[in-house]
Amino acid sequence: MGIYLIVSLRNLLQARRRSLLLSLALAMVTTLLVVLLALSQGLTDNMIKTATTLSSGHVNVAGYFKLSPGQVAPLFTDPAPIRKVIEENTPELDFMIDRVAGFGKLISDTGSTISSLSGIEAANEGRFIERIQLAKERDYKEGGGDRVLGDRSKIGQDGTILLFTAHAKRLGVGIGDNVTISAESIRGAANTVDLTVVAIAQDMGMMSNWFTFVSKKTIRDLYQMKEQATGGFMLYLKDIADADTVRARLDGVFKERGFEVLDYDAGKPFFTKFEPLAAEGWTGQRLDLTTWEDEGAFLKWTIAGFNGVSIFLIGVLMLIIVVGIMNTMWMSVRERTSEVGTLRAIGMKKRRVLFLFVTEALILGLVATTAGSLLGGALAGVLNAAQIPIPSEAARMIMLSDTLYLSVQGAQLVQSVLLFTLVTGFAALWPASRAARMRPVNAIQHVG
Amino acid sequence: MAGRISFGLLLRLSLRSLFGHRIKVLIVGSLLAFGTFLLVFGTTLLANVERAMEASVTGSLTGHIQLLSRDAKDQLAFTGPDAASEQDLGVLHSFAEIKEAALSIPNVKAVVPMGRHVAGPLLGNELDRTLEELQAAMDGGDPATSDRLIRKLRRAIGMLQEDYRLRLDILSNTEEIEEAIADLKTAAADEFWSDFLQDPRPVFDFLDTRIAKLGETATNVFIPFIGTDLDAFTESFESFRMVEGEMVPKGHRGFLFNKTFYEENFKNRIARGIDKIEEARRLDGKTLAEDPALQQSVKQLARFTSYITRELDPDDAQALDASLRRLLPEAEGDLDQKLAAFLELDDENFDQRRAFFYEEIAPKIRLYAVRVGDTFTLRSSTRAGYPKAINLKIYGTFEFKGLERSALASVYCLMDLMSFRDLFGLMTVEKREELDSIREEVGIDALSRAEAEDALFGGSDEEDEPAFAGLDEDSDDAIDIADRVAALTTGAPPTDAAADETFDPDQLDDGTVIHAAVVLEDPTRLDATIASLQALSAERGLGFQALPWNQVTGIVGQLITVVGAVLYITIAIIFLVALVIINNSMVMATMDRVSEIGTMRAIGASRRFVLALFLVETLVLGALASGVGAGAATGLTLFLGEVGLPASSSDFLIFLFGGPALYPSVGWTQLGVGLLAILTVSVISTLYPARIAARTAPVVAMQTKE
Repeated sequence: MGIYLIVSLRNLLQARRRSLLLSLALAMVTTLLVVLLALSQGLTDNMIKTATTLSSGHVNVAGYFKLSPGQVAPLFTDPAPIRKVIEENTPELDFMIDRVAGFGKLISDTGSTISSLSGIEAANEGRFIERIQLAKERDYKEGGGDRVLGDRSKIGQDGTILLFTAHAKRLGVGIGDNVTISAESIRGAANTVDLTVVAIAQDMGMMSNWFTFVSKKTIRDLYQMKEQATGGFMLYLKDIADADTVRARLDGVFKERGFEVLDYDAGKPFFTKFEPLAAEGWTGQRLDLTTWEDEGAFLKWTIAGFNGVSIFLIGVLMLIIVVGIMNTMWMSVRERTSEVGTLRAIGMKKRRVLFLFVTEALILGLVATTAGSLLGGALAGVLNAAQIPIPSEAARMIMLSDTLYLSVQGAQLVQSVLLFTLVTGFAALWPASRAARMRPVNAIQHVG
Repeated sequence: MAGRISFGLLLRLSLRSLFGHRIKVLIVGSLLAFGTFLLVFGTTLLANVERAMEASVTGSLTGHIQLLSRDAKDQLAFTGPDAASEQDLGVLHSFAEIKEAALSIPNVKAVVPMGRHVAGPLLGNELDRTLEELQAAMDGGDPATSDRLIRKLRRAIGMLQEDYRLRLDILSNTEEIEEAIADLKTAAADEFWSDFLQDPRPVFDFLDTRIAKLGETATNVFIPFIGTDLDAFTESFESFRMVEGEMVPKGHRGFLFNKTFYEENFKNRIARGIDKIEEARRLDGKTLAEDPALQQSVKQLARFTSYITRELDPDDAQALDASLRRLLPEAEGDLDQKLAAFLELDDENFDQRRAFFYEEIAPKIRLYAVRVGDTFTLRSSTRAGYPKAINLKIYGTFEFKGLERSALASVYCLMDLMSFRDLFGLMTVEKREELDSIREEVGIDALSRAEAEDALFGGSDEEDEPAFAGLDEDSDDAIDIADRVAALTTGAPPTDAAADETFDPDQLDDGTVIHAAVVLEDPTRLDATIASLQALSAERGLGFQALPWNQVTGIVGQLITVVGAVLYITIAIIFLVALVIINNSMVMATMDRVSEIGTMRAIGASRRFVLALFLVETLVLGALASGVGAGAATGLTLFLGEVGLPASSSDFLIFLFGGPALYPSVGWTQLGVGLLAILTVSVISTLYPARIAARTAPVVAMQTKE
């Protein structure tokens, strides 16, 4: 075994320029693959983070209450028994929160905008409040400073509102300013409420454009809801991978206990359900169970699209690389025809000759792709640390983030190295087999 | 003379050596050919998409250029999230002046005033309608109809009682609800109706004042519309055409629905569902047996039966039940269940059941929530949250030719400019000031402008205001818009009745607009025209800026840019890697020929000759390969241009493609650029090996065996 390595290495070093050029190309493509994988992973991470911070738990138990066939309200009139069932049947549960949903117009002295409203209770929302990144003053105010204003501890308290930067900019408000919410209640009556901005958070891609956080009481007052009414439960599990199991189990349990549960509609987030539900004939309370994947499903196409382009690109490059490797190995075989002849003449088996050339390619591939993947990892790390802002709105929508975010994972580095090394070895098979098949007599006579 | 001979020689030598190195030629050639194909085809497709989108956008919404105020705070966007939220675009103060100035530029064909806004329709509820019909039947002395309507009314009141009991579960203002329930109880009781035929007045009064308002009023539909000079709009946008009804007569107020939007949002849900399945089957060749999306919509239809049963009066319900029994003898249960069975559609029964629906069911229900010819109330709120309402007649529906199925091109309905100004008018500085009471930014200048605006708006504000007097933005109390709007629509119309329906056409130009579309004679001179418009604005102090169409399309335009960027980055990366690989192959090939080159050099070939030999060789190879690649790309483009690249039913693609399919044409620019790029790449990749070759010393070269 050792002798092959030594011979292969010698050969590679002899043809330094050739090896170097090919390695360069291989390393480049590996770097690219690693960066693309990191971007794709970053997108997925962003999706999970955005969905589970803004609008979804790992599993959600939402309520829909219909006053009349055409009027759908997203709430539970009597949440206590629901909570009990969840608590009793979810050993995987880490913690659970409930929020009240609304929809209204935010109005300031200088602007207005529309947003969905989430009513939260500060005491239960430790994770949310911790995850939200408060924005620097200059992010939403022209001529603002670098200081982060706002008070996390006031988020979710009565009379306060948490805005995202995009809303704050549109409304032209800063910390301490007043914002009025105007919403239309079930009977078409417009209610308004005045709130004080206590925190302004950094945008989380496009999705945060649709969310604003206030206290539960604010929403109940706006809609004149009863005090016990709540919108839905968001369940956070110890392991997000259990989400599907938990959803399916709770679905069964709720039905068993006689609750009316809507048919599971995979991939349909909360806000797509109002219209079809309004068309159905029933009235009263029903439950709807979803996972974070369903709530974030509408974000998935960006990831799918991105991966599609990446696969195409890497595929084409791989093809080019294979052509390059074959070309190089071809040269190598030709140059060393007489050497091969000699080796064969002194008794080397065909298989061994093949092995020799493939080893050469594998060593080249391994070295080049390792370098490439380390470079790619480093590059992704640097790009990520640089927090490069994404310029266009459409790109922000696709990337689900305002800054470029890449997530490098060790496993991906190893996978990239393995993939390209194997491809290299595979590409060398043909030229190598040609070399192995040569008749020693002819080969040994071959010149040039 | 010598140069010419050596060129012929070069060419011959190149060809010979290319022929002698077939493998290299194959490898490098296929890479180059593939690169050319990708570059030419990708850019051609992109250019075609851009052109198609330009046509669909400029022909339906934006015109080629949009004019808007220099003071605009937000970016004007016709699609995407920016368009969904309200934009602060400032106002163009004197449209007449701007129009006149713009038209003085020869390339400008038309200037169309515009303003985008969103309003919610206030649709009379079923209770209201039945009451009206009953009144008419009583007046007309039609006892049979009256009897039927009374039964319908009582059934509806009974259903409302249940709804209101449910409200007790969720709402905190219980007294109000208890009161409503008490009223409903009164109206449902037999005693209430016993004297009706003798003396209907008290019953009508009670129903009108206490019960009608309890009917369902909430609609989830918001209508985005463009307020414009309708005549100028239809003349300037060539793909516009009316579908139903008539054009709003000159000088009249009126509303036109976009046909697709109208169908999607105002048609009976089951009818719309059936239409869509029919469309998918006919136009996209889909089948119910194979398409999961269609199967899903069929499944949903069965849950929507209340959209039919709610609309039926008892007699029609009975008749329908009977005919369904004939059609589906095996179906059991009540009418809802029979309808659900009827709506179990498959490929075989679809045509028959669709026909049954339109013959037997459709005439018994209201197929559209509002109909062409109706007058309806649109309500909206200004930026400050100030409610506004207006009554408008729906004159008809329209579509943009080729974009009928694109929801993106069907976003906007149309309204006459005067009504738009009424709905939007409150967003003047003065009104905002009224609400905010103090705004420091409002200087003398702004105030005088506000006064001017007020004059331009023709004082419509004054007429609107009384209906909403007493509205206090800071108040936490409920403000019952429904009541106020009801007052508006019944008692005091928003504006003087005569002025409401007609206006002096001259007023259209003599006022304020938000932005304006400029349609050009020759769209290829877009940039030059924008420059002239900007110059004109600066010169005459007109205060507008001119933006090209692709900057105002919002998210759609930006997505195109992103897709283009992704394409170019992809091609660039592929080229870079290909460059390295080609370079590598070339170096190999050069090494292979060291002794040949040595011989040439020894018999007197200069270094420059060797260099030139290599370059010519690559150029020939590059030209051949890129010829093949470009040929393939052109062939594919021509083929697609013939059969069309289908947008399937993707809404986004229909908009991008400017219709149901894209028929790309060959772009000479893309072809030229593609060929040039490939030749450049191949020459660059040869430079290094060629230099190695040229540097070879004859002696060394001839000695080398390998």
